[in-house]
Amino acid sequence: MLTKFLDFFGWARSHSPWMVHYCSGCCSLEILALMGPRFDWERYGFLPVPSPRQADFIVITGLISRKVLPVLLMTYDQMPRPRYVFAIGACAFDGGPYYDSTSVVTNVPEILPPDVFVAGCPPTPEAILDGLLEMKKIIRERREARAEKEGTWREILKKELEKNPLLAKQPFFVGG
Amino acid sequence: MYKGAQIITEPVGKEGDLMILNWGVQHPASGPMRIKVWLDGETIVKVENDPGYVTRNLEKLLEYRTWESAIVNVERICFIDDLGTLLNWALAVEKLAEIEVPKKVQYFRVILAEVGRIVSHLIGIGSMFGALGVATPMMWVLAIREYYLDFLEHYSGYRISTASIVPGGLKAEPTKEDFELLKKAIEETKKRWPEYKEVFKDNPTLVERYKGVGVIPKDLVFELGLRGPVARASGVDYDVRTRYPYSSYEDFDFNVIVKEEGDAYARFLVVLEEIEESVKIIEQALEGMPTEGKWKVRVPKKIKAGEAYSAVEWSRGSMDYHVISDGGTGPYRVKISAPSFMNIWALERIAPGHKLADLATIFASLYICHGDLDR
Amino acid sequence: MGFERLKKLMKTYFGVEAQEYPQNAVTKTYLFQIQPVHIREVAKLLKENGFNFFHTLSPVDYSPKGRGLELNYFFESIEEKIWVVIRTELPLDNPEIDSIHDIYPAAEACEREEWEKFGINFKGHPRLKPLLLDDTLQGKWVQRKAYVPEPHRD
Ligand code: SF4
Repeated sequence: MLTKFLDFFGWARSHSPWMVHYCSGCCSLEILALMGPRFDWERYGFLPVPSPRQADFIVITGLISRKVLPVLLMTYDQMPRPRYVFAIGACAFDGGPYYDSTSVVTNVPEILPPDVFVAGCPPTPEAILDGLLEMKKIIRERREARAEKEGTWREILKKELEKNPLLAKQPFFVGG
Repeated sequence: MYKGAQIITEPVGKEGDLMILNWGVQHPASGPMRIKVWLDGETIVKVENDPGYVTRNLEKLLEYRTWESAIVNVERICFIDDLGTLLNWALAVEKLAEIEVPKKVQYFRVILAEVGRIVSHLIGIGSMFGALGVATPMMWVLAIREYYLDFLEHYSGYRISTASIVPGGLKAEPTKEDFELLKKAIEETKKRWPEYKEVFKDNPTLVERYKGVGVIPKDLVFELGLRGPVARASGVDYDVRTRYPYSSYEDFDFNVIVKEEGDAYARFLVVLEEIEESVKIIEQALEGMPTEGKWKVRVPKKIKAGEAYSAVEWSRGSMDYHVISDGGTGPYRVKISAPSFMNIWALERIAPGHKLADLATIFASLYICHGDLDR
Repeated sequence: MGFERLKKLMKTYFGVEAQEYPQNAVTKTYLFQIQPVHIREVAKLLKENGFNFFHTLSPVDYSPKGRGLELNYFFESIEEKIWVVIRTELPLDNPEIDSIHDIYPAAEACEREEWEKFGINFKGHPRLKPLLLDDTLQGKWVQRKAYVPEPHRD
């Protein structure tokens, strides 16, 4: 009975998946195109929201620099469960065109493993949309997010919090 | 091993202190950038920029690339208008190698650069409205933008990372269908733009929030070395295209939009009206396109030692490269002097005294791209 | 006129000649090779003679070629449409030069960036603190030739 009930919630959630409005790389331009009238992702219920507390999944839009990594992890940490990770672009996999740059994190999947990854530099909106539909399926089946059991992001975040004890006291942390 | 990275922690002060607010990094209007704001109630007292959240150290990376493969990184300085940066790279390398490209290549480069400008300005207008929470104009401009991206996709195979301008010429010869798609895009723009422009220009929400806000006086432009639409909105007639014509820009007849007011609304109008001028240039280039000559000239693998400085009018202002060669297969050093990096410092000067809600509009009207701010 | 006057004054004050700088694709440009100690006086002279637009500061590390750090300052006179490049050279170990941020406020951010990337100490600069790079890269002077980038993994 309970699972049926939860299934219903999964089904309902899959019809309005909201993402955190958070852009860190040039791939976000194709996300912008997706919001536009030609691709129009709102017909599937997708919507960018400013606050991570209302979001179902986060999009890693390509490039993650060293300076932005803690911000990404903090944003992810603030999301309510179930929370999923959707990554696009070569940068979010191994650094892409910046594979030898010191300022770019080249192993994002090891830190925050994505549930769906779309390849390309940048991927076309059609490809991203295909990936998003896959994401919908995952939400509907209430699968466990990969980042909940794998990935080193918790340790990294903990180190950040140790470095900045003030931050840990902030009310917005649900606590990993 | 993780060694830690910079993070944002500013304590909220004692009672009676100013409040310190971190505007960004994750904020729908800020993009990946933090702006530290000192607030007295709702009034901004002080502002400090903290960029660097998309730093890739491109200047260093380019030292490890060849002259041709560098275009992959050069065009990713900023993706909103990648064609202008590519054009500048091609000009710089050609200057170093002392080669000149045929007239028709120059004309087609002008077309591509102007397409890049239109595409970028459309997004700029959309995000200036987006800062107010008005979403419809963004949809409208994105609808027009898609036609230009169709042209780019058909021509180069990619929508935004086109890599279409290479040192020595163009990536590929444009075909008949390419020109047809471009003409269709222009037609579509001309059909819709007059109506859109009217709606955008007199939009009461925008006029109310932008007029008289964030005034940049003319002196400040010289003082801070501001460039592009920001400088032109303050009455400085500085446009590299007409001032120091490159790539046959002297053949075309167009106006440089200059406004005297210097407020956020003037900056919006400059961006808005420049789209029409770009359409004009593309039409002239299509008409007067020469037919003789090749589409690509050979550039030597190794370029003799020397240096070159080149600048183009990019969508956000003049984009300058200082390229140095030591006779190798790639650059010895590249200095990228980007307009957003200069323009962002105007925010620290003009934002104090405004209300917090104006910060988003001032920031949007400065027309910053974080890619070229951080590089 | 502004530039002619500048040329004369540079000759009498610092004994440097204006050289042509044809490498600038933009427009007519002249190059002055000066001593690093003179940078502030030269900047003041430029400002007085109508060179009111600061473009950029571009250091080049020539250490593999047996030279030091070369600094190029690019200025433009808006009325005359002439550019001037001021070039000076610093030793690579402990490079120091006076800041020109109060004469050309536009140079402040540029100097801050080059301090972060090259380790050039701009004396008198009000805020030489991290700008673009994160904490782990501070003090490594990433733009110098001695620094070889390695991909970053966490
Ligand atoms: S994958 Fe390509 S398009 Fe995406 S952020 Fe990286 S460089 Fe930009």
